[in-house]
Amino acid sequence: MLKQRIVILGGGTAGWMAAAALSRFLPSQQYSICLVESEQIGTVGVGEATIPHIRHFNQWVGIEEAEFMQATGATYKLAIRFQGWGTANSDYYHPFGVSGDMLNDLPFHQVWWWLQQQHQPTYPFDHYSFAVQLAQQKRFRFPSTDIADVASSFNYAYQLDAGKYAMLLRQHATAQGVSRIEGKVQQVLQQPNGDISELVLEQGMRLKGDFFIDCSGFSALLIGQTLQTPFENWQQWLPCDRALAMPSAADVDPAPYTLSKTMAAGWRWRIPLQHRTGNGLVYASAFLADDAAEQHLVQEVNETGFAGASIKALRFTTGRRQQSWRHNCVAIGLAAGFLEPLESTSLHLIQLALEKLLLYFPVHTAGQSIVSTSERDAFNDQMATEYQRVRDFLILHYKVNTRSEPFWQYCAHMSLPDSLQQRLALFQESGQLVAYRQGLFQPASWLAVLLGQGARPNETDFRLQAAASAPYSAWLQQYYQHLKMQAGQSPSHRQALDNSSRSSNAPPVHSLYGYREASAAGGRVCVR
Amino acid sequence: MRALNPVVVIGSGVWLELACAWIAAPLRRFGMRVVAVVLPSDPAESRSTQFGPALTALCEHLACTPLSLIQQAQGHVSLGCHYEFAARQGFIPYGFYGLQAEASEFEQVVLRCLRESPALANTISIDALSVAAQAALQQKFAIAPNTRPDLQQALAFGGQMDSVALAACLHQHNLAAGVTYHACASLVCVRNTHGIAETIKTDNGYEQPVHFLIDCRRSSDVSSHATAATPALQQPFALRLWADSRPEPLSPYSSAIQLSGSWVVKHRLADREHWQCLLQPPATVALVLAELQQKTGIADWQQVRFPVPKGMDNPWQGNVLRCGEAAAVLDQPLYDGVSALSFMLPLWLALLPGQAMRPAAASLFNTQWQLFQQEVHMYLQCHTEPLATAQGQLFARAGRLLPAETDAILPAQWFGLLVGLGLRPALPSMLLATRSTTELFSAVHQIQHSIARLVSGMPSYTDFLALTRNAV
Ligand SMILES: Cc1cc2nc3c(=O)[nH]c(=O)nc-3n(C[C@H](O)[C@H](O)[C@H](O)COP(=O)(O)OP(=O)(O)OC[C@H]3O[C@@H](n4cnc5c(N)ncnc54)[C@H](O)[C@@H]3O)c2cc1C
Repeated sequence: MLKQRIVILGGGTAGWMAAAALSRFLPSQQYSICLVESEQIGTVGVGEATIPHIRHFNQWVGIEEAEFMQATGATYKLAIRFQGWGTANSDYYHPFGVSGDMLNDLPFHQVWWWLQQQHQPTYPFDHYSFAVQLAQQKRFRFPSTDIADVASSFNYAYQLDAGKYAMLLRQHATAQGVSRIEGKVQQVLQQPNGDISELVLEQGMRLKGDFFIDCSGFSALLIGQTLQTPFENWQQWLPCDRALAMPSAADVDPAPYTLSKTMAAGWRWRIPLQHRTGNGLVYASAFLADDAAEQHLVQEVNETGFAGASIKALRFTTGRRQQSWRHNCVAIGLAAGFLEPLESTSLHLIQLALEKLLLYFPVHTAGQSIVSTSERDAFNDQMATEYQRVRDFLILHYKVNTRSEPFWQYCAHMSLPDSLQQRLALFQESGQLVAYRQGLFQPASWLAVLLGQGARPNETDFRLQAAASAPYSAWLQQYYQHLKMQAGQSPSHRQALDNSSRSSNAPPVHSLYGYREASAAGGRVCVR
Repeated sequence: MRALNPVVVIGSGVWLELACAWIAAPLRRFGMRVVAVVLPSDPAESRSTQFGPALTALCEHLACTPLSLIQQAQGHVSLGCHYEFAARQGFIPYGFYGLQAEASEFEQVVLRCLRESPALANTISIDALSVAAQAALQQKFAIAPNTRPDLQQALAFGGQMDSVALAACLHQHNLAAGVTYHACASLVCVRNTHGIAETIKTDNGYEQPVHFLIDCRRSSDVSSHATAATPALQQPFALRLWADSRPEPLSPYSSAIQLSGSWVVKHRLADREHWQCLLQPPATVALVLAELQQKTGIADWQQVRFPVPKGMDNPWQGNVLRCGEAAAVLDQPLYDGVSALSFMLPLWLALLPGQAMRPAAASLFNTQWQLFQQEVHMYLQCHTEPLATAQGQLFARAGRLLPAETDAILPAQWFGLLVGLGLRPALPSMLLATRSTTELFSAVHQIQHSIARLVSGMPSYTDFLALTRNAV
């Protein structure tokens, strides 16, 4: 039997994630997988902050956590800390966890907001999250699977070295039979029906394939340049178009969170790893000159110990290909689209595309086009929904602000996609948010950002009109103290990292927010 | 504290009582009253009602058990529906297939077995891979304990009930939850200049100020009192045919039989079996009656004619929710309007209108309703022309289901229907590609045996009913 030839173009994180996942599942007797990459072109080399689903991916492709932590110099990540978002002096966390519990069948945030309206003392919304308490105290423990335990109310991800992660994936993929070719693709040949048939490399080598995965990064050599798939530009909503990245020395006491701090026309990140710290700046070139941006980044990094490393400059356009699967080619990673790294979603979107690709994987039938529109449409529709919902969540961070700089003013006044407009209007009207069936960020995340950035609903929940505030107030106070104490008894992040090569991790759960949120029975409290 | 006007529910029969039942107790907890204005009964209302697993949630609201409600409503439990398609038979359960709800790729394992070895496939029946289907077809039933949420899901059940008895039973619950009732022959809704419903005035002189109006009429136009209603001369009519037959041995499921251009559905009630069939033009009634007699042995069918429901894409407008008109379009024997109401009312409650005017909530509600409606329409269409739907096409190709945006149709129902219709995917699951067919067959056989063993330990439905009656 002739093997179906799968060609992956690109050896960045997307390419090697694809290679590791496909080689894990496709039987080697039926499929050959070959990855082409060009050292001359190199990779984007960033992509260090992740979300909890990556734990699932690692398990899926057979990478143990201990091996992973060591190989990638990873740290644990519980949240993103947002400084200056919404207002110049805001400081809040978007945790991988929920704040509070349902109280008497009322969402916690409604009670919290109502108590504030009653002039009862409360802490900021995020302080009622166990993940935030751990993050603030720079502590880490694995989540619990017992939903009675507050430690079941969060999940965790990693901050990793992208280059090392790609290398680890490469080891796994090549051990699973993926062949690697070094070289630059110069020409792409197509069949009369438009399907891609061959890649021609600079050295003259020709690489035939039945199915192609385009992981060629921003150049989108197959899906864009060859198949001419239109690009949907989302820059009017996400106006940042440049980034700078530079490493600095490792922190002695690294934080279990990613920092995102605004500046006049964008924001900067700080991602502590075991062996170094990743820093970068994302900005809008229409509002900030490149040299001013560079100066800003260097100055900020210097404040926390400059390593003197070189700066990498990147340009991008936010948006996505209208279809990531066309003909016999699926684009994954930056070739499929780019959403700025504000919520660390890119690796997740790669993972999701791979999971869906495997659900709909085409089978070779000799002499026939191997792909039908059904699976292609299903894949494209589902990926479009996922991208669009992440996009809306990112726009939210920019839109909800009262800052005075021209860039922020532009964002505050820009018109919104209908899907986001509808969600925001509902929140504004009544503080309500509806969970998505498909889509990564659920109400817990939207609330963290909305309330963290100072948005408040017009009305408190009318169901609380007849309630007495004292029992609720007491519950909140007690819950906060309990979280704080429990967090204080957890190991420091540093200790947890030192033990990471021998600790037993928690099994991955398919919710950003941990077991309690994933369980229908979790998180309901009766307050009297 | 603001004293709000009551939520006024108008309509008749089981839909009115059901709407009140969903909302009265939760609203009362927050100091809000519900007033029901009862109109004369609607001839288009079906004589029996089929609830899916949403029944359990309703009973939580009512603080009763699903079983007691079903018994009071002269009904029987339902683990799903037994289908007689034109060419084959199958059971469509509410509960999942296999032994684990989230067992990844279980359905794919089954499909691959069915596809790869027709000889061996004869040893596999998908009905034997569903605890619910096995139990139902063997006339067995049990309620899994709370310590086994997996079994509770596998044996998820609803109820088939007598509509009048159910309405009477819900009425008692509603009275206890503080609902007040006013009967009338007709009513008008007085709106302000912004179109907001302010007062309901009945023909017998009753006036009720409105905070929010929930209209459960199948065909209503509360705004038409402002503008003269145009007589619907051209409106097409639908025909509901029904008949009763003597009860057969007790079985915990309903049945559906495919006719040439329609379906006849049988609900098993305490004292009879109730059959119904819905015809839309241009069906030829005489032919259908002949076919009905041939398939069911029943000659005597009663008929009621009513306008084909127009449907309603935006049932929530201003402070009025026209849920009856929205549900009517989905109220076909293969799907029940109560399921649509049981989607709309909890959603409305979740978006609880403290203020009467909630444009953002209304917009979101209407969007969700449209998704629900689309999913039900697709399910109904799949019964006759699966390959004309996106769901059928994707299943036929990849054996996968489209992601659902609502719980209108449960995954097991889709799977049962599509496989029952004879669809087999062209593509095998790549997630199973490294597993040998022998290994998969052996896994499936093992699950089949475990299910058989599990079901053999269950009491017969008759014994179950006797036991529960004794326990009461
Ligand atoms: C500033 C910035 C910060 C980011 N931060 C995060 C983050 O915190 N978290 C996160 O999840 N994601 C982040 N991302 C996104 C993340 O970096 C990417 O999604 C991820 O690295 C995948 O990139 P890729 O593999 O698609 O592309 P690349 O890394 O660019 O790889 C492209 C590959 O294609 C090869 N190639 C291209 N053309 C040819 C050719 N003609 N011949 C042969 N080979 C070719 C290249 O050699 C390379 O191997 C960030 C992105 C940017 C720009």
